Amino acid sequence: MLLAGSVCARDREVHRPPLLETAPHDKYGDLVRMGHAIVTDTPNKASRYSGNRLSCSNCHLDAGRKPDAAPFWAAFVAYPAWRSKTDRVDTFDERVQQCFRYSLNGIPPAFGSIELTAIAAYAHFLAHGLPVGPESKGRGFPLLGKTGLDPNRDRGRVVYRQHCQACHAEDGGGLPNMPPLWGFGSYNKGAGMANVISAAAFIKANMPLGNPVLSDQEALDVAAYMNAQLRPPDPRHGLLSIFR
Amino acid sequence: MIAASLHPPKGIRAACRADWVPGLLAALLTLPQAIALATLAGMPVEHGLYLSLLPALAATLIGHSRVAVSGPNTAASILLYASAATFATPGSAGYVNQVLLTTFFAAIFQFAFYFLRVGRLFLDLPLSVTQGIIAGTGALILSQQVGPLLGVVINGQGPYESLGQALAYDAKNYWPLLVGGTGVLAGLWSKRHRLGRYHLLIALAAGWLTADLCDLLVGSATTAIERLGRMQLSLYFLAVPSVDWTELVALFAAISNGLAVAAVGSLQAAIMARTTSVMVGERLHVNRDILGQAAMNLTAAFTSGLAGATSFNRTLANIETGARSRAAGVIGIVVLGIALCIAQEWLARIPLAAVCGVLVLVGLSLLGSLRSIDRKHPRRAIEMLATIASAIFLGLFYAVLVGACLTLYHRALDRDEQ
Repeated sequence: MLLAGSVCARDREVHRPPLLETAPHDKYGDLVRMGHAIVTDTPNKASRYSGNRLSCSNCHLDAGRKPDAAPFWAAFVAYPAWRSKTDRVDTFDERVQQCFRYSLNGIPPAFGSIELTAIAAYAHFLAHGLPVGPESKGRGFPLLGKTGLDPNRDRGRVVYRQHCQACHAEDGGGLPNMPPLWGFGSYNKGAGMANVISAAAFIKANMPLGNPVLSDQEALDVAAYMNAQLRPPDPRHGLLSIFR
Repeated sequence: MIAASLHPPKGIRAACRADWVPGLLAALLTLPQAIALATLAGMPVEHGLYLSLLPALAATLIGHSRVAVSGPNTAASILLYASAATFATPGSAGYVNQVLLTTFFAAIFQFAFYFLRVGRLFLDLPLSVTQGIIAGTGALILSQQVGPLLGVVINGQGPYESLGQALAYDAKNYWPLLVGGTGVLAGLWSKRHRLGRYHLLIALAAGWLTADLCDLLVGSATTAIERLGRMQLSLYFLAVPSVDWTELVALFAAISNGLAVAAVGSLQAAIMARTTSVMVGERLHVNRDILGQAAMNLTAAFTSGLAGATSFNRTLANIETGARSRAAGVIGIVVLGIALCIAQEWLARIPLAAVCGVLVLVGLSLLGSLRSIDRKHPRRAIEMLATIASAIFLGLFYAVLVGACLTLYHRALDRDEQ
C-alpha cells in the first residue's frame, strides 16, 4: 500500500493552488491576504526584516504559485525536513527565516511574528488539497541533466547580454519592478540562488520570464556569470573562516 | 502647571546636564520594549512607538512623579490582546480600531478614578510591602531575561515556567549570553570606576560592540543574535476610534476591557509612585499620577497608540542613571523621536541580547533592596518576603493584595499584644 501511495504521488497531476479571491473572509483569510502582500512586496510589507530590494515572488514566481519555481504549496507540505545546509530537521517557519537571512539578506523574523505567521498561512492556503509529503510534482526547480561542459562565465556574459540585460540592466542592478541579480541590493553568498547548479535550474525552467528558451548549458553559463559578481557576504562565515 | 513642572529650581540647562544620560538610556530602552509589547498586544510594531512619543509625553508632563517613565506596558498589552483578539485578526485594521476603542475607554475610566480620588487608597501601603514589591520586580525582570539570553522564544508565561522552559530547551544558543554577559560585566566594572551614572549606557554599548564583533568574526548566521529590525513610521498617525453600531458586543468588550486596563494602569502607577517615593524621596500624589495615565491613554487613542502604563523597569533604570526631573523623560522622548527619524538603519542593528544585559543590571540593583530587610521585626520581614514570593508566583497585583492583607493582620496582632 505504501508503494501504491508513492506511485500515485509520482503520477499525480501538478497541483493547482486555489485563487487568492477564494480565500475566506475571516481571520484566516485576512492572514492569507497579508501573506500574499508580504510575498509580492517584501521590501515594503516586511520592511522590518527585509535587507535588500528583492521580494519573495522574484524567485517564487507568480507569488509562489508557479510549479518548477519553488512553489510555496510544495514547500509547505514538504516540511519538517532534513536540510544539508543546516544538517538538522527544519520546520517550514525555520525555512522561511532562512530565506530572510540569505535570499533577502535581512534579519530572520522572530517565531510568532505576524510576518512569519502570515507567510505560513498563505503557503497553507495554496497547499489546500495537496497530500502531505516531499514528492509533490513541480516542487523546487527541475534538475538539469549533465551537459558534459563546465559552466563558463565568459560564455555566460554573452548569454546575459543577449537574454537578461533588458530587464536586469547591464550592471545587474535590475530596473524598477525588476529584481537586481547582484550588488548589495540582491541575495547574499549564502542563498540557495548563489549555488550555480540551483540558479541554473531556476533559469532554465523560468527565464527569460514567460519565454524560457535557454539550453541547459546556456543556463549554467549565465548562472556562473551571475554568481561571479559582487554581492553581500555569506552570513555563515566571518573573518575567522579564512583560517579554516 | 506644565511650564512650572518643566522648570526645575536651577533652570532648564542645569536639568538637561543632569538628565541627558537617563534620557538617552530611556530612549534606547524604550525602542525594543515598545516593539515587543506592541507585538504582545497583537498590534503592528509601529503603534508601540506612537505610544512612546506623544502619549508618553503627556504622562510625563501631567503625572506627579518626576522620574516615572510611562508608555508600553506588559500587563496593559496582555489585556488589550484579550480584548481585541476575539473580534479581529491581530494586526488588521479592524483589530487596531478595537484596541484604540479599548484604549479610549481606559482613559475615560482613569479620568473617573481621578475625580473619585481612588489614588488615596494606596497612600497607606506600608514600607515593608513596597520594599517587597521592588525586590519582587527585580526577580521578575531577571527571570524574563534568561530566555532571550539563551536564544529561546518564550510567550507570556509566568517567571518560574519561563525559567524552566528556557533551561530545559535543547537548542540553546550561547552567543546572546556572551553579548548580554559582556554588557553586564562592563556595567558592573564601570559602576566601580566612577562611571556609575553611565553604567547602563556602557553596558548597552559593550553588548552592542560584542555582538557586532562576533558577527564579523564568525558570521551572523552562526551567532544568530537577534536584532531589532527597521520600523515604518507614518506622519499620518492621527486616528479616531470608530464604533460599529451593528456589532455592539465589540463595543461592550471595549468598555469592560477598558475598565480592566484602567484599573491595572492605575494600580501600576500607584505601586510605582510608592516605590519611587521610597527610592528618591518624592512626595506621594498617586491621584495626579493616575491623571497622567488618563491623559496618556486619551492621547494614545487619537494618535494610533495603544493603552500603556507606568513601566517598572524603565522607571527604575531612569532612577539608576540619576534622573532628577521630568527633563529626563522629555529628553528621552525627544531623543527617541529624532533617532527614529534620522538613525533608523543604525537602530535596526540593536542586538536584543544587549538590551537584556541592561535589564539584568536593573534587576540586580532592585534585588539589592533585600538588604533593607527588617531583621529586628520578624513580622515586617515576613511581610516583605511574602510580598516577594507573591510577586514571583502570583504577579505584582496579587503581591500588593497579599502584602496589604498580611500587614493589616500583623497590625491587629501588634495591637492585641499591647
